[in-house]
Amino acid sequence: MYRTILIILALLLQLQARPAGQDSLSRRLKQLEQEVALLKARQEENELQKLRQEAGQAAEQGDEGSSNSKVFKSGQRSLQAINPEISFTGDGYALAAPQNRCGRQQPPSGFAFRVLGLHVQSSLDPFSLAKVALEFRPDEGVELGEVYVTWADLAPGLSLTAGKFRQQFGIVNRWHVHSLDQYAFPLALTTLLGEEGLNQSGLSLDWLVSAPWADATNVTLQITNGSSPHLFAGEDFSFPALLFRLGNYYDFNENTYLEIGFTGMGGSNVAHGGIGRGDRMTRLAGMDLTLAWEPVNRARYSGFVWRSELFYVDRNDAAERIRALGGYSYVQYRLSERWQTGLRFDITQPFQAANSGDYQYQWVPYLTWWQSHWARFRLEYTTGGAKNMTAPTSRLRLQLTWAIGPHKHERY
Amino acid sequence: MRKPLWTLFLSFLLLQPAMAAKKIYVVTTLSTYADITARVGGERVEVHAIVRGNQDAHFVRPKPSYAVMLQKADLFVSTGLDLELWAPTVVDRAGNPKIRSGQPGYVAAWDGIKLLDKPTVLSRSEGGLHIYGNPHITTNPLNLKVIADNIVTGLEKIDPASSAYYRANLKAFRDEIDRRVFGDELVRLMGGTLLTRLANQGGLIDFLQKKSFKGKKMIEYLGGWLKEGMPFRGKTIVAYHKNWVYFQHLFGLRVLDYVEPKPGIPPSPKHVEELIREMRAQKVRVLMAANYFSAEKVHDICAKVGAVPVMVPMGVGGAGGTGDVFSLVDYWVSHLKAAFETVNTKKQESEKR
Repeated sequence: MYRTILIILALLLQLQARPAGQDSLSRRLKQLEQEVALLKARQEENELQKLRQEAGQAAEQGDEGSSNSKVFKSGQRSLQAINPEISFTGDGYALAAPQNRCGRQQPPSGFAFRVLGLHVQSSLDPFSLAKVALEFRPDEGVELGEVYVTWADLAPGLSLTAGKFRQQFGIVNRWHVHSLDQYAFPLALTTLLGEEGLNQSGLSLDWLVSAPWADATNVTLQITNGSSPHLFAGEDFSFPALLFRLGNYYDFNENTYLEIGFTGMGGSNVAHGGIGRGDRMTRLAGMDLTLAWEPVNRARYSGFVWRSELFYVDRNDAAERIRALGGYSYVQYRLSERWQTGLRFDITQPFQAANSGDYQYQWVPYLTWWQSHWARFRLEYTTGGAKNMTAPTSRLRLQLTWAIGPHKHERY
Repeated sequence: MRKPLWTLFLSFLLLQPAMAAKKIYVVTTLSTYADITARVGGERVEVHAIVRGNQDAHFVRPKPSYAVMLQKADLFVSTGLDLELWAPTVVDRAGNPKIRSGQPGYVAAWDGIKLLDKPTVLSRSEGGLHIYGNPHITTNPLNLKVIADNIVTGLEKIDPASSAYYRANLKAFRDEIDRRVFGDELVRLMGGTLLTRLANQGGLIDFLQKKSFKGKKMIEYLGGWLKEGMPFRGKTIVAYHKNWVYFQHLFGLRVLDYVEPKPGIPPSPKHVEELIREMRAQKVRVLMAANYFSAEKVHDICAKVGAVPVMVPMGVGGAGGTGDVFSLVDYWVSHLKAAFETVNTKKQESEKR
């Protein structure tokens, strides 16, 4: 269309043109060309504007409706939404164990429910976080597993915990029983630190340091009641127990790390006013080592952990002096997304005086199947032997552990 | 003897301003966030990522060395939405109050992104849940512009004096994303903002197909990744996990089913059998998965169905040739396109026979 107009205009101009006006004719032609180009650009711009408007309208389709359709709601009496995170964990098993010579089984074969855990956690305020773990056991009733408040930002890298907590004596003593890699705590831990491990009330200071000798160093200092009847003075304690742990962490590469920890602990075992009786002390020492390999690209399907700990106790009380040593070591391999297998070896001296040469040991092979992140089955066999002690009963156990709610374990 | 001492002292004084202008130490969860931060922050930031491009961001051990990184951080960028479930543990261990949620040193990458796939039923029977919506926001390149906005807001809070510098870098990044997604010509005609709105609303391709300009259909002006992705628009795939919801939305892909029966639940043999039957019945011949999932499982399913596996990294650096966000999206689009081309070739060959 523009071309036709141009041709007509040019012809008209040519008809009117005189030879002397050739220059003015071409000037005029150029001018007309420019005007047509301008018109064309304007038309394109208008076309584009229209397209943009249509696109804008199309983009708005499906947006919120008109303000008239809004319904106003107060949102009051809805504070249940800030209830704490509440989770339950369940831990039960089926056991097959041979009868002993007296015809009694210890522990008996059959089905049993070990513990139901109620776990509650929430921020208290912008500064602190509280955690509670209650344990319901069929034969022992309700027990306060842990209850503590943590101030995570006390100073750079420094956190403070106050309450009753599983103590950082090595690695696994800190864990709840349902989250262990095997069914039960290692023999050395239950024999030397107490049936349930070390779990006392007090304060814990944790300091994460960027030390020159490691990729990360964690220093833990805990001052607690000496309320463990096994190690210290029990409920009538009169002197606190002190724990110190130094954990050094090394990243070998992005898939492999090593952690080595050293723990020392001491406290009085004298009840009622026994302060200052240096000869009535219990001293503990521990060493832990964890080597883990988990390829970052295959972490769901492959991984290996080797963990070992040594425990030493020296309890000097009025009647006797007990010195005992024990430890464990296990390897665990992830076979696939759902399957893991492992083998643990435990050995310990008895927690009694004059125990030189006496020991008890056990082997614990196991196979774990994760139904999902929230339900796990474990088939575990235990067998062992002893010298001058009762040997652990051989037993086969199928364990089921599960969690309801947001419960999760974050180990490294 | 005194002269060298004085020289040393004077040099120290002269070096003071340079030392004062120290870089902002940024730690990000995903490697993709680290790449974006490096682009908008330029030489004024030092960036470290925790999650590798070929790593599953859900399952990362909260190692003490990460806590040490966060202890030093001025700015921490994470997705939020419970993608990085381990992150609160590392932040707690770091004891650095500046980078906690709600503080100036924290950036939630998802802020401002229209979340898809919000669960209607909040129950573990649905597998792993993200109650606010799907957290795999980085799979739509248009979302990267919003993430870059958020990161720049975070940088400005710490270093307001460099605001103009960050904003200029942000503009360059946004423009580059627009050009890469829509092509130069369409961006010149319609503008990136409008195109982004239309694409996010889901009506861009329909609009371009209906409208004309200068005697040509608007779709003919389309370039970039969207043009490259036209061969698989409207096509159906199977995915391993709900990683690709945002990618699907932009590129118009349909997902028939997932290798995981529910998010986070490992596939059972029975479910895999059903999936294979379904793929055969529906003639679905492409299976897309993040490259941290089981390659054996993916290849096994594909072999049984005659499908083409597309295993790609979720993040920057997760495979060769994915060194930045642009090459990462290039990788996704080109591999998916190539898979559908292979499927077509196979189909034609079988028809000839």
